[in-house]
Amino acid sequence: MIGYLLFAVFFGLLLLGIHRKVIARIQRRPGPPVWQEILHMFKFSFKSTWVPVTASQSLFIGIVLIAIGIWSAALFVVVTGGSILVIFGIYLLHKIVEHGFGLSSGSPYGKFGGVRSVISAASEIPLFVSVAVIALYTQSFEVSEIVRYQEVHGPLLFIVPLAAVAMYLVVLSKMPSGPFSIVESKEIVSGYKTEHFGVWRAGLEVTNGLKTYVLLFTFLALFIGSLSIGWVVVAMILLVVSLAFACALCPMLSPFDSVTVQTLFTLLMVGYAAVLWVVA
Amino acid sequence: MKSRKSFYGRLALVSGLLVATGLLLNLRDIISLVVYEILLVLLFPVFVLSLGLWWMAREHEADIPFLGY
Repeated sequence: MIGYLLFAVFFGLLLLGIHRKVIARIQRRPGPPVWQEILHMFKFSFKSTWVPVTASQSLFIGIVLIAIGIWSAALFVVVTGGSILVIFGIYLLHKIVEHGFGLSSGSPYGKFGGVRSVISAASEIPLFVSVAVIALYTQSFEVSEIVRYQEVHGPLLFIVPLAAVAMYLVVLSKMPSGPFSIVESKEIVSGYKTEHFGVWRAGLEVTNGLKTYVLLFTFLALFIGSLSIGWVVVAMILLVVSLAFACALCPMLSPFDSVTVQTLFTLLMVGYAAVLWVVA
Repeated sequence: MKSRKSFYGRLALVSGLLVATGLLLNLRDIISLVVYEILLVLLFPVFVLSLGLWWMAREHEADIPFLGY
């Protein structure tokens, strides 16, 4: 498991590097090398580090430990075929963690990032609808059962495509430079991450690598089914390239528009789930 | 400052050794996979941060080793 955990961290960071590279090439920039995010992690971990005077020391440090811990737990839950409700819970917990990051520093930019994280909770509701639709068809919340269902009936991507689109939007909202990335947009410097520099930022990079891997792996497990590790790698790269196109071609929305679009999509998804429930 | 560095170094070593011990115990079926996973969830973050805090450049030391591009 420690090997898999390290693989997830490094491969997740590599995926983020590919994401940056593809965005850069679409925008006709050379862009950084694909391993840049891995270099970032090492670079930050070597930077001289301290805790800002305005920060709450215990929360400032503790929140980094919690962030790495919850995504490590999410990885174990999804690869061992555990409950998607636990992953959903961890995903919601991440909102609180982002908020904690922002509040712990005492910086106004961090606080704005934390507040934006809370108001963008609208992006989580399509995930709830996705989970409900999947459970409606498979009669289970266990990833292992859902994967088994797909071995018999085929990928859920073709059975409930709108639920897959909903989860795709949730993953998109977590990618950097996307239309819904309001928590770390440039007008608030780096949002909730602004004051976490040096080793703390290296810890955040580890979290980002894990989070990216877990979200993409969950998407593949829930909507494609069982794949060998080689196909997982290929499918994740394809997913990241498609997400990069979405990020490069859609401008970042203002916080109000971001929440409005996500809320409208959520209403659409609730209607879709209601129709499926009546039909099924 | 040096005592702090050695404290973080010891913390990284202890957490790393505990993870390695957990792996060995799990491979020999002495502890279950769930217990090993809980151990990792608790110790991996400590290992990452303490390793960084031990490794990081101290004040007045150059701290730009990985420029990348």
